[in-house]
Amino acid sequence: MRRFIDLLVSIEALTRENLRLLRELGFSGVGASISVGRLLSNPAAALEALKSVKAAGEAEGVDVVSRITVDESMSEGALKAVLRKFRRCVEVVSAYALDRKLTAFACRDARVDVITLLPGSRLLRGDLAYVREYGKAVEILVVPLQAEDPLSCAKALAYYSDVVKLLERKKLLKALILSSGASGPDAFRDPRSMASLLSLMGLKYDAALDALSANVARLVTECRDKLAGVVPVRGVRIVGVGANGH
Amino acid sequence: MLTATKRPVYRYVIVEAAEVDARSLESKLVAAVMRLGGILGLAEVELTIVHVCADKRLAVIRVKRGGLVLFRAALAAHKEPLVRVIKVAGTLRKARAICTSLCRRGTVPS
Repeated sequence: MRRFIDLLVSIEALTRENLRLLRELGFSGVGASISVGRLLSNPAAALEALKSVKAAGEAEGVDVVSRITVDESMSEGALKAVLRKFRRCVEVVSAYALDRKLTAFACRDARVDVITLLPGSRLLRGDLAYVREYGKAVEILVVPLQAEDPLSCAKALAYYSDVVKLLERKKLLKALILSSGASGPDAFRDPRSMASLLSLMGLKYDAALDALSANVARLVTECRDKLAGVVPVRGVRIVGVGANGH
Repeated sequence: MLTATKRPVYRYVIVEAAEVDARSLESKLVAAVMRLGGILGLAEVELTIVHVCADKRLAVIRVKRGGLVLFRAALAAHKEPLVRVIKVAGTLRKARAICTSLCRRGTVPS
């Protein structure tokens, strides 16, 4: 049975009722995203909010994945400082591909797990090579497709179709994840409808379902293993400790 | 009469909606499908509301099998949630049975 995870929902939207709503829609996990601006303005409160959402999720039977989202342009130095300070406080770190510098850095740095594409973002060959090498995920969102203006909606659809085709051509479909990007319950949709939307972009329905379940679960497991020390460095996994401690 | 191979195959989508006035719900759904797929898409989906359970806010929508993906995609791409899909059945009898059982059990998610 598939376990669906919506990896990008704003933490402000994750009240107890909304967590229940997500569970009723068919999600068994949700990514509670905190924006980097809010994190930097009051780190203690932000991390406390993540903890309380995690506790609420546990009570509602929803697996909450803590996540920092770099959703504003910032210099490489500032981003490095954020990563140095907060990387081990959350399970997933993602960056929006807002400009070329930020995209290149996010792809190059192993501490960023997810590259979120907005309509108009560019991924170059080198970026894709890093995505493959570091096992990162490329995330596309449903929110731009729910825009009021049909033209911007059409542009988003065309852009995301191109991204899907590119990833398929580069054999990187396992890196593709689809999230709602919701900032309120109005943008929540059931996973199979979201997968239908993705399959309209030229993907097989099973692969579209994977983008909401298996691909996300793989990424989350890997991030949790890294945090737990099961994967101390890239390419090394501790499968067990011998009797003499080696 | 169309031959068996030409006869359209349908799916019956059991949904929960805020309002189940069949006519207004159908027009909203048609608008949503039109927005994403245009008239061609609407022809592919050919949606009709075939059963309504007003007290539990449930409805059964018949769509062409080939248009199910487009129908669900249209629901996902609509700016506000129109309906919530509960189950997809292959026959109207099954869909009605599911509807009745949900009404009886009172387990429709609110």
